[in-house]
Amino acid sequence: MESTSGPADSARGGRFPRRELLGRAAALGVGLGTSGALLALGDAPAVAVPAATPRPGGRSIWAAESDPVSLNPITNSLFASVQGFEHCYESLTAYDAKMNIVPALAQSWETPNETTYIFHLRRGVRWHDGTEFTADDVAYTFGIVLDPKGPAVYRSNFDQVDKVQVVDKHTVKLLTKAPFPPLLGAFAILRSSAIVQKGALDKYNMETQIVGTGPYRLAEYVPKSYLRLVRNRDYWGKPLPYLDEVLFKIMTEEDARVAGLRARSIDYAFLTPLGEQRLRSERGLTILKGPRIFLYVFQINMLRKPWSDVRVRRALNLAVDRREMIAKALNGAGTVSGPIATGFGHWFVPPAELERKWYVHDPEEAKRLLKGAGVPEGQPLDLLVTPFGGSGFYTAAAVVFKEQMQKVGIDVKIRQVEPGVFDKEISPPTFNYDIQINAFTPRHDPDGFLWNRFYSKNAYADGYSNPKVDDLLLRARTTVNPAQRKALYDEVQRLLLADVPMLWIAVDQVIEGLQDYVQGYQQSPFTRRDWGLKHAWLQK
Amino acid sequence: MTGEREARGADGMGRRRRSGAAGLGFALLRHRVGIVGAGLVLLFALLAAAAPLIAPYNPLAQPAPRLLPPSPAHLLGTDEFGRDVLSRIIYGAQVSFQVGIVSVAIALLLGGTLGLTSGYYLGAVDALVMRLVDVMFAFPTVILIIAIAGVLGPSIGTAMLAIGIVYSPIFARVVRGPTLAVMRQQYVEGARAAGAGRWRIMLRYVLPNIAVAVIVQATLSFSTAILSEATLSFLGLGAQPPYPSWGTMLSAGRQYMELAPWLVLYPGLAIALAVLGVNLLGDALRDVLDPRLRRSAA
Repeated sequence: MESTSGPADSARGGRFPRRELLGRAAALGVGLGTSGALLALGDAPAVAVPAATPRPGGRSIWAAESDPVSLNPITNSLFASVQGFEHCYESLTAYDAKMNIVPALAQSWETPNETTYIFHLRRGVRWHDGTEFTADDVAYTFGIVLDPKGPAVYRSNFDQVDKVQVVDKHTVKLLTKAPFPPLLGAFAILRSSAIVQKGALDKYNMETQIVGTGPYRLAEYVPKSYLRLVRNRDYWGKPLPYLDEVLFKIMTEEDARVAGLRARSIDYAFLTPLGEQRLRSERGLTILKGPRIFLYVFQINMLRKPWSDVRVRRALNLAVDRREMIAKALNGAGTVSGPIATGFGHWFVPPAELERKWYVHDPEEAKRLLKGAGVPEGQPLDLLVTPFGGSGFYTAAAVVFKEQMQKVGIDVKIRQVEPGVFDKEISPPTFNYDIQINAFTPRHDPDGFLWNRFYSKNAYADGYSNPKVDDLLLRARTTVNPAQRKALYDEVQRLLLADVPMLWIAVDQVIEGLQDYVQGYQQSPFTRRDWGLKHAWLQK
Repeated sequence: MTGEREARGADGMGRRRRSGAAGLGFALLRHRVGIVGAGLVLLFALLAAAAPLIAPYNPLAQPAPRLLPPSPAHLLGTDEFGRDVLSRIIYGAQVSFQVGIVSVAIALLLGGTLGLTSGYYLGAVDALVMRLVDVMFAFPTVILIIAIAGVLGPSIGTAMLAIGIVYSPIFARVVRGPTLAVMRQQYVEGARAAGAGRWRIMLRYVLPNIAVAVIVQATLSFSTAILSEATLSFLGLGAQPPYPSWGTMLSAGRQYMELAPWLVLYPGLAIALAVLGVNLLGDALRDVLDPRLRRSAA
């Protein structure tokens, strides 16, 4: 098996004429410095080490780790759903692989004042059914998204948008109620922000069909089985995408994905740290690893005693050994994180500072604090956890936490419940837990990690109230100047770290396995694949 | 199947009860398979009873490096948290035996009562009870256990209750048959004529005479109960972390199967051996206790 991916494939990859190579490279503005080196491997024929010049064409089978369930970009909150439609729908802006916001359906934009955005739409963009994309489509989409009685689940991402006006066929103006810095990210995150065709709701079944503008057309979706995508020949971003056809096979079991990569029956799969360890010695595979915006936290219920006492919460923070938790519950694949997820743009508190200053592991000091706060030895703690999702982190972390807390005299009782019960228990006004283990999934703005939980007037702020934090959060979400905004978030995060309204643990990693012949793919810290797939090509 | 045996009951009842235990012991000792079964059961029972004395480590403590392969310090290696696998298996025997005993007791109490009343009263009561039993038999056992445990919430207590409930129909059946036969015996007629009440008849005359069938069934159910607990725990509905149960160990170790095979191998072996032991013992008990089989063997 392994040997077939070696010289033979490379030979095929190097077969196309040099002139074609040059032409393509020039078209892409890529230098040719690395191309065409020749190698002689013993008796084997001389093999050209292929150039890093994308080669269009080919069919590729990729594993999807979960079923999208629905492909409706407006009404869906499932991340798996985004991973299903992200190759077909687009918004005004997009994220590149490094989380920079880049133009997509809007070629450029300007902000004449702090509450006005003017988007200049890309010209000559066609929908998958051949009709032209215009400002009317944008207006139609936002008619649905902003409608308070409409079906959009992420309307709150646009809650400061007041009006959307069509200026001309290729220009749209957005007016906001207040300065609204998260706007550009709110488009790029593709949460109720994909632009749909005018009349889409009445034209086709958005649950299972897609008429988009993206690099791939959805040819077929068989729920729980596969999605078949074919190249959009009219894509505005030509020569992207490179692959002619991509079959996303839904493979929820990691065993199947690992076996598929080994057998070369799939070209791509998302992996857990364990999957990565299993494939580490496999030849012909490339494993990509990077931080993922998936922030694991222990949420403390401050409506209850003794957790309402900041000394007690600081004691918990001192008693937690994050290093051990990362090793045991994340299989070592994690980095400590503060309130804003490590790796999220430039907004987060550096892990070095966290470890030096905020996350010192000191059980003795913890005991002293607990004693000072009058917490008795053997104080029970109701730890709510659901065993589903989170790559197995939740239950494992609960076990490690129980052991760590025992050392400072807190008796953790793990209560494992199914997701439905979990949601009910942690929602207002129930809040039935002392601590619950949860995670922040990717957000489009730093505000997303803080506002809901720590702004005292929000329903989910389970007992936390700090007027200074309230004030900073309010100012930060309306400050447009990036440097000033950064300063505000820096300050508020350090206040939070001192107050310990939750125990932020760590972010995990995006781990993906690809066959060596898949080139050009780049990871996203959001576990999105649209940018990567659009740039991927096969060297065989 | 039970007619012959019960026919001897009228005169032999009291005597058999007194000499039963010793006689049974001797008979089992002569039964080669029985010795193996009894030995295995005894071994696991000992592990369960003396776990704190035998286990080399605290099964919940996580002092060692994680995923250590078997070594002299950790005979069966350590798990993903650095806990000693051998100690967890030893303590896991406690969970398994507790579940086996309690859930079979529940099943026996529920099913036995149903079967006894059904066989005693006959008529409408019998029809009703037996249809109920039929309905329960119609469900796949595991699905029914999962449904009950799911509704009651995951814990080892509800797991035992769920297994007990689901296993009760088999006891209703096993008890009802011989009850019917015993009820037709002259000594029951005699007792009734002498003025014995229905409770006295059921408990004093019927129950002792159907005990053999019940004992054999209880042993067999004991082994399947261990298996069911492992299944439930595997699915997260039985023993809750961090407490060790063979099923949860299998479930947690499953994802490490390739990297640390000892995490699934040894708990799996423990389940297999315990179930085998109880089954062998059950078979032997049946051979020894069933007079028909004993006669043909002789």
